[in-house]
Amino acid sequence: MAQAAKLAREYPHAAIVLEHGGLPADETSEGWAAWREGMGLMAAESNVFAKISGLGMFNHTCTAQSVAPVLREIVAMFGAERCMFGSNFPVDKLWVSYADMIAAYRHAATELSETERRAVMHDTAWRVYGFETLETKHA
Amino acid sequence: MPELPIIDAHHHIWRQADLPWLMGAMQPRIFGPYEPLRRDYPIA
Repeated sequence: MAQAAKLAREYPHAAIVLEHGGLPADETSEGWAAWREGMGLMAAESNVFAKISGLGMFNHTCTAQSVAPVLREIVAMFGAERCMFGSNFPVDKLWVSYADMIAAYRHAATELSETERRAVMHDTAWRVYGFETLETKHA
Repeated sequence: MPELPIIDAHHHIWRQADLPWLMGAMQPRIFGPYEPLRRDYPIA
């Protein structure tokens, strides 16, 4: 993460999207501490965005209870305007249906403001991937 | 609460034949057994 943050610093005009919430694979207290430290370094670079996706790849679960703490921490570090939801399907269908995943994220996101929810579930990706530009081009 | 619009910013579209890891014998992966993934996932 430190090397990735350095790279982001060296290329400030490149948007860098960090996958899978920074892979919080180690659920020990030391593991979470290392994840927080690394995510903090990435969040300090304003050109880094965080995908909140694939969080169940290690514990093979996706519920509002499993998503909410990670969602909360990542949004607190990056700000919702730099966070975006992703399903990681079809991989994550190994343990959750698409409908249940969306329900889990919707429920977990109820603790955010409406603006934050919209950012995470839609607006950030719209902006970062330039969908508006695409729409204009094809209009 | 009104339904929020959603962009799914991370998903995979693939042809199984393009992905060696989906073609060979099953290997241990962090996400466990993955037999259901061993097929095409086209855009539509």
